[in-house]
Amino acid sequence: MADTDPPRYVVSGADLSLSNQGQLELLHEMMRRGLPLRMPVRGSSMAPCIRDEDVVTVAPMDQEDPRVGQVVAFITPSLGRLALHRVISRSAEGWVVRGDGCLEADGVVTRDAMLGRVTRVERNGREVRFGEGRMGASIAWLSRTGLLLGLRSVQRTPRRLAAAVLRRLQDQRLYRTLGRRWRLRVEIFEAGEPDLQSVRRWLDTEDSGPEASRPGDLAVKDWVAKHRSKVVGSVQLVFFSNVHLEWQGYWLFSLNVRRRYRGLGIGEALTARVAEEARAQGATELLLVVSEGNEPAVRLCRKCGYTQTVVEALEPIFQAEKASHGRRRIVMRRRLDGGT
Amino acid sequence: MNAGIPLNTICSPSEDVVSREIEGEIIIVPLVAGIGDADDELYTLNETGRAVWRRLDGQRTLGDIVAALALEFDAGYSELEADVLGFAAAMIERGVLSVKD
Repeated sequence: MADTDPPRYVVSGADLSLSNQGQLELLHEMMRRGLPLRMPVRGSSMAPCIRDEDVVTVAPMDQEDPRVGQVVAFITPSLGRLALHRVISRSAEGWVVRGDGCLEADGVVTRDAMLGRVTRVERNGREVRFGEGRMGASIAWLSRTGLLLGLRSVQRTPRRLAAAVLRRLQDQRLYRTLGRRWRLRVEIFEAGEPDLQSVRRWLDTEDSGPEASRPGDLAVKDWVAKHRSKVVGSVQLVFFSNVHLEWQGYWLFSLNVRRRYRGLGIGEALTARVAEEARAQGATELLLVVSEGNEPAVRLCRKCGYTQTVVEALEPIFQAEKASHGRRRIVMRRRLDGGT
Repeated sequence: MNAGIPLNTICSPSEDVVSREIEGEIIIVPLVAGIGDADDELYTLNETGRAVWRRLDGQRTLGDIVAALALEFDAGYSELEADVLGFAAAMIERGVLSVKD
């Protein structure tokens, strides 16, 4: 389509995020009209056949019933959400459906709740196999018998071992020193909505959009660290402007770095960016909350100039948390005006 | 660019798109080779676009829509006329609206 006119009246889909319910409604409409829909996948319940951010084409079922082994789009019986999972068996009331990577089946899905079947999967612009035909029937059998998860557990063993080795390495000074050079390819950007969506998917907070319940006296600015175009870290600067709040002021929130990118100075760089912005906004100090037992995080904070402090109003909350979860959080403060 | 669209034009959503109001937004999915593309080609409309889109019933002319909006909104007639014609031009160019003969 021509794009000569500035998009004054339209907003492109890239800036639009449909919720699961929105996707469900749209798919419902397309299937009702007998038209296939190409749509992005969120979540990894069908991994490795269908992965997060793959693009699937869902076609109407017409008059045909679903077949065992097919991947179908359906409304989950428990929550009424849209899901794409594999039919693993037939029952008297309908079809038993389960994600290839899920511990449990979704239950019995009736014909009315079946919306369409997946006919094509694309990954990074290329069509990929996703266990169709006889392969699909075999995967369904393995899933039914519980062998699929057993096989996946064996398949994941080398990965788990590698993760354990990586964690050990990340504690080593040499790894961190060498990593600083490599980190040069990681850049920090102020986060746009697509970045925030990536962060929510990664941290599995898809349904808790940041704007959902934000009060008027709260200002938030987000940054992400990217390696090539992949989001590998994120952080927020939150300003509580209400002077009547005991925790009024500037706070560093939600510092996260993907596990395999830790120990490379990304957390430190994100923290520095937040301090820089807070200082630019006139802050004299920056506060953050961290779990006392999270030693790497506390170590990072100390290294960045934060010292432990107490915000009296938050203490009862932290004590109650410790009583119920066994974890104690603490407040740390960094002066930005040169004081101590 | 809307100079060429007369006010007596009747527009309606093209057969090459599927539209639906979802979560307060009008979602428009163009059909590419008979397949709706919600990955690359999804559109939604801004406030002006929504107000016009809801009145595209295949009967009313663009001029009728301008008049209806002028009654409803506290905005100048010429401003509304420019907005409606601008919207129609942009949508026709994108293949989202078609002109009724």
